[in-house]
Formats: sequence, structure tokens, C-alpha cells
Amino acid sequence: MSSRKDNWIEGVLSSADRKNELPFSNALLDRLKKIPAEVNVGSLIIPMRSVYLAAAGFALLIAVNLFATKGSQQKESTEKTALYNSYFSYLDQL
Amino acid sequence: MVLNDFEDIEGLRSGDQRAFHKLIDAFSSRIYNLCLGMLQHQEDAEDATQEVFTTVYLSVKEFKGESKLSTWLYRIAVNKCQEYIRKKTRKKRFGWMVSIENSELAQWSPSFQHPGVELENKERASILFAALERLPENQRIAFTLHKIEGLPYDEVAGAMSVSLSSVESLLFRAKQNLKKLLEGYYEKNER
Repeated sequence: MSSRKDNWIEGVLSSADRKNELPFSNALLDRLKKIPAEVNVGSLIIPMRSVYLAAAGFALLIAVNLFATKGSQQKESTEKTALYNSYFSYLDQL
Repeated sequence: MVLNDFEDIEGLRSGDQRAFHKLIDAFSSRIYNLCLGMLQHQEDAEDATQEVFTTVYLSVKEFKGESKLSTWLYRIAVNKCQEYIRKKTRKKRFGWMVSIENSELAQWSPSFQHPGVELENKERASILFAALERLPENQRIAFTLHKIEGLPYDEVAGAMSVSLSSVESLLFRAKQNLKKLLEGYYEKNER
């Protein structure tokens, strides 16, 4: 009984020993051969689009900041002039 | 520097597509078979093979020639397969549908039929593949590379980045554990 079990176990352990090397599908071969083209295309197109998008984003950011700075400077100088005027007119009255 | 098993390594390094196609012709079948043996799933094996060759194409410049090119390829393939196995294990562990009982020996359901195994051995081989899934990762890899893919000890050691004595010890423990698992299966199903 024990030797039958041992034989069975040995049989299972060696069952994949004489395995044939499998050819794989042509679809996989195509996928493998396209790797260089796909890798190269990926590195050319995606960065260009990213570069344009990033450049446009930066330009927009700079423009918004310039407008905002200019507007706040104008407002600040108007407020300061009004303050000085009221102060000096008060001094004149004295 | 090791005498290499692929002539056009310089062509590969310079990104020559013909050299890459030669590499595919020379090694793709072996890499695919290795992935199939380790992952026991045809589509996963195909995806892993594609990822191996993409990694090779992108990083061949870093290959220093300290080992054979085939050993370096096997190492990449083993790492990729380990990633797949870990992903699968995580999915199983968190899957709602898989009960804890499924990991018990009694619940074995040998399901993977390796297409390369001879017809007369198919049934036994599917039991072996089911048993292999229950081994610790390193033992499973060592056994698959040596016993199923037929790699010599030194190539197994190179592919797994371990010493020769570690390979011997891993294979010894793998066989011991497989025997125990198969004994349990025999008692339940074959007697």
C-alpha cells in the first residue's frame, strides 16, 4: 500500500519533467515585435503634447499674475493718494 | 565577464530593432514557457512575457555582462512573475467570495492543464501544479525553474539572485513539502 502511494507521489513529482516547449500565438509574437515602435512613439508624442500644455499653462499663470499685480498696484496708489490728500487738507485747515 | 549566449548585445544596446527581433526569436519561447509554468494562466503568461521584453528593451543599456544574457532575462521574468503572483494572492486574500476553507488541503481542485505536458501525464501534472501553488514562493520558483523548465542549478541561482547552496536547500525543502501535500491528497482522493 505504502509503495503504491510512494509510486504515485513520484509519478506526480515527475509528471512535468518531459514537458514540451510550447510555441506561442502569432498575436503575442506581433505584440513583442511592436515593442520598440510603441516605446519610441510613446517617448516622442506624449512629451510634445505635455510640453505644449505645460507652456500654455505657464503663460496663462503669468498673465493672470501680471494683471492681478497691476490692478492691485493701481488700487493701492489711488488709496494712498486719497489718504495723503485728506491728511494735508486737514493740516491746511489747522 | 561571462562569454555570452547572444551575439548582438551591442546592437541591442544601441536600440537596433533587428537585434531586438533576433533576441525575441532566440528567447521568447523559453520566457513564455517559464511564465506559463510559474503563473499557470495563459493570458497572464502572455502579458508577463510582453512586460519582460519591454523591460529588456528599456534597460538593456544597464546590462553589464556579468552574467549570461539568458540568466539576466530569467531574472527579469522571475521578478515579473513574482509581481503577478503577489497581485493574485492579494486579490484572493481580500476577495469576499473566497472562504478560508479553500486554502485547506481537502479543497484542492487541480484545474490548470499545462498544454506542454504529454497527454498521459496531464492529470498528474495538474495535481502537481495545484500542489506547487501551496508552496512558499521561493521554493515554488526554484522547483519550477529546475524541475519543470529544466534550468541547471547555476542558472536557477542567477535567476533568483541566490547562492547555489540556497538553491539546493530550496529544492530539497520544496520536494519535502510537495511530498507531504501529495500524501494528504492521496489519502483523500486516490485511495
